[in-house]
Amino acid sequence: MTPNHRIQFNVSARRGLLSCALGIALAVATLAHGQSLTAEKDPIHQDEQARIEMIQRVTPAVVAVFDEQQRGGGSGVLIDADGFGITNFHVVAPMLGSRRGLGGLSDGKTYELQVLGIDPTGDLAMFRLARSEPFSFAALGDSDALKLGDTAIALGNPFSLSEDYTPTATMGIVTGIHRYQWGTGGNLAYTDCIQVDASINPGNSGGPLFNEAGEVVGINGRISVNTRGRYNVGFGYAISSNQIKRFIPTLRAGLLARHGSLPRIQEGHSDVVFTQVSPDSNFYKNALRSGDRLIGFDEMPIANRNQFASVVGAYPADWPIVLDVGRVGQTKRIPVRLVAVNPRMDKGFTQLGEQNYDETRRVLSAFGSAVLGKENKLPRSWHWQMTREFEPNSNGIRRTTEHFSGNLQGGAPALLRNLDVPERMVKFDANIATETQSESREGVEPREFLVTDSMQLILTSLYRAQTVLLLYAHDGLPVGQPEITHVGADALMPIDMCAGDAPPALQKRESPVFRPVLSVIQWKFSDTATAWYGFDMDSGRLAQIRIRDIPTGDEIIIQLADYKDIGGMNWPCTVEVRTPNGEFRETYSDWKIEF
Amino acid sequence: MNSRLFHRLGLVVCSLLSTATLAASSPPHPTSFDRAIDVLLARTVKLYGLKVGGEAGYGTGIIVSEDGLVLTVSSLLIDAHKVRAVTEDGTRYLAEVLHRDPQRQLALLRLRPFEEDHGEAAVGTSRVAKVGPFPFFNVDGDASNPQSTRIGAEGSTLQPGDWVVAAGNAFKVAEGAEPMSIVHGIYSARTRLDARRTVKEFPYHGDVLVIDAVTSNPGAPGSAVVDLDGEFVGMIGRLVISNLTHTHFNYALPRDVLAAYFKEATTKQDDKLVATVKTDGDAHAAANANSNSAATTDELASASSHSSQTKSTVDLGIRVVRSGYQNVPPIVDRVRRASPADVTGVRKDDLILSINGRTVKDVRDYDERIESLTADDTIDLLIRRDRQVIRLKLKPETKP
Repeated sequence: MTPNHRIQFNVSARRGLLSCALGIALAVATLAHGQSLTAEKDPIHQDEQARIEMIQRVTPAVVAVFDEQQRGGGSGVLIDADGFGITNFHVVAPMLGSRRGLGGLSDGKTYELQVLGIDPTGDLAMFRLARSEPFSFAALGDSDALKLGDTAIALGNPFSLSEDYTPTATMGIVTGIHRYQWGTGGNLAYTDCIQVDASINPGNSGGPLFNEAGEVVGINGRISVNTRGRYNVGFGYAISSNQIKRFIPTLRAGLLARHGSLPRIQEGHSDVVFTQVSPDSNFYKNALRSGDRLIGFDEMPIANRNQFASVVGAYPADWPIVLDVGRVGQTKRIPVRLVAVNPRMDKGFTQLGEQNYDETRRVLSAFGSAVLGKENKLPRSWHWQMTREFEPNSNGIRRTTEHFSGNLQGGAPALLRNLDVPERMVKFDANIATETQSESREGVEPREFLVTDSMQLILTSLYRAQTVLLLYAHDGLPVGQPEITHVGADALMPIDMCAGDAPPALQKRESPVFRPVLSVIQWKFSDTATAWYGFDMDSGRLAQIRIRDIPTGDEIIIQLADYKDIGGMNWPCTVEVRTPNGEFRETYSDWKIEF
Repeated sequence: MNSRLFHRLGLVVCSLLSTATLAASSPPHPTSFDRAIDVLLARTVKLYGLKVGGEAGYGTGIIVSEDGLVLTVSSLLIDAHKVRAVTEDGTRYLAEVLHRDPQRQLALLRLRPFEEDHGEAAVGTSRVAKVGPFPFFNVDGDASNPQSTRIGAEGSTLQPGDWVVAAGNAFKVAEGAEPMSIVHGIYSARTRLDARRTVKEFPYHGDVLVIDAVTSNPGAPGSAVVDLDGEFVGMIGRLVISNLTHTHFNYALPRDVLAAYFKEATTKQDDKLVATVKTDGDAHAAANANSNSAATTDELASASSHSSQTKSTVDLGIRVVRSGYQNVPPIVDRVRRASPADVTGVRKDDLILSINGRTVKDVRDYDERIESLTADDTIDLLIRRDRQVIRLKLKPETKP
């Protein structure tokens, strides 16, 4: 019965009763009156009504997960209209041979289920249900916003109770946050997880935990039991939604997810100290040294090893993190990328399925519509004008504003034929008008900047991105060939985070800063250069380009923001270029482009 | 009377086994648990102590005075040489056992500074630095708050159906400064724990508060229970498991019972008493015999064995091997010197096959057989030693 029906029932019941015998009418009318009052005013009934509506709203997104023979039984939740859903790795582990299963929805039907990416370390997996019409789905919420005592509602199919796949709802409160539950042999660790006393039982695994607003804040997958047996005793654990978000691009693309870690550390009772920072690691390059003491992880103060173990486990390998470290009387802020922890590969899931190239196409297509608009056409030449401001820190110049204009043309046909086109194929000229507001310190000559170099880098990188789209639009996209592949997830690291010897004092916070998640497509230009195009998971826009010179390992990061409509194209009007450690950084803005 | 009560308790316990039912029938959550949780976390400590056999080795305590008196359950846990306590902010303390009550299964501890050297020194109170002040629950608070004992007592304002919230170290989920686990449920009834037919190993027969949340988990005994305003209601007691149905009873000891104990323990408590408790072998053994705080089935077995020694009317002088498993065969672990068993010739490592002609499958069987005996019986014992089957006749002693 929907809420509306319920209200209508009350009203009509009251009307009908007026004509009844007085005694009965009086008694029942009082009751009806009481009900209508509660529906309008009583906070308890309002609360209950809101909960009923919430559960009804999210129910169609809850999946009963079975293998092809309809055995086993876990739960899952759909997170988009295309049928992508998440569940526990341990729910789909028995299906990894065929990568096929069945998903039952509350409409009483089962749908073919395809297992996509898996994360054995974090007990997560992505699946996709097949249907031509769009699916109902639930949105992922912010698990870092949860507090002890918040209402938590679990939906799923415990004990395989439901014959028609309508989920069972159980309610409780959040009884612990940022919990750490050890895994077995490196797998199935629940780090930074949510503890709830909503009753979670066998069969609930993989199912969603909702907050009061009906957002998925966790995936239920684990309970504490004692020798009484495998049923709930008030201690359930859910993988937090913010951890899940960091793995979604990887899982959607059908990849094996790996978790991140830091290089060798010694974990004391209160300190986490780096004991061995290898000189050829990215950590060393970014000025991390042996003996440094970890005091902050993405702006979250780290007080002890348990806290650190819990936090780091929620991150994918190669993820950009800003570390705050203590070193003899000073603190340093150091940007690093986490090292990879390989999951223990059991028999049965060593065979990974093919990469889901649909996902690569989807990401590029979303970018296409986000950037090119409806016309989906790519100009052959650009005339551009922009301003650059910079504040160099070592050469005495306080501030300089420069105005550029130039043309970029002629590269497209060559790019279309051959992906491995050298930069010079794109004709590039720039006119630079420097409006010198620079002040030189005495005795220091202003440095000559290689303006055209970084400018060229930005434009050609963008041009390449556009070219991929053009290729895509012309059905010539060599997706699936080694040059262009989906490689999982990355995060956007704001440029301000990445430099400076004196970081701001760390605020007390219980979880690290959550950064926007990118879906990353790798393009191997050549044997010597690779670029990673990071598309914002929510907007689909190109947000970051990383280009690496393979022989030296040097990297340039281009961040694109502030998208505006220019000449029918959605153009990033602020572009930042920097090295990973922020030693070199420039910001470009005020783009004016003619196509 | 007994059977009616048992029936009532049985129903409560059974309904708790399916928390799904519980959630469906719970009242909604228009109220906030914030206040209760804040109050609880500041006044509860994680305890770490002796881990033997089925004992969890960890538990919970409640701060009941500004200077660090801690109320908890009496269990093997606090028999440790050094019991450690961790407060909300993650600070570690030593917890010195001041007093324990085998009948109510309660104990009073005092927090001391955590320094390796002070493990021994802690007994001599004069030399030890003061700790605190701590936020605390005013358990007996008669003078400062005349209403503070109302909850849990007859005519209390806490009504069946009201929310109660507990915080504790169950399953040792939280470490250091991490907030302890919260459990919430509904106060169902205040009743006598009088189901002696099923929970005979538990010596306490006073009033308990029945709670419809699973409170009987390892580490949970000693957890503070409050209402939504954060008013102290009671403390989760030691594990009570039915020998018959293996169901766990979810209850708390009411505040007035705790207050009475607290008053008694603090008036009696002086250095002499501490020394007595520490050195008096009998008191220690008695406390030991009644230890049963961990929620494991092997613990259940050992609990009934203790009960056979403390409650049953006969004593053979046999101790059987009790490992961590439920279905161990009854193998003689020790024979008390000059006991009936010793006199008759029972030896260590004998396997007991039958008692009075009835086969004994395992330790549980053995315990049940022994408990059904009376001192007038002559006991026909069939044992296996090496490859021989030996028949022995014993005349048991009556227990003191």
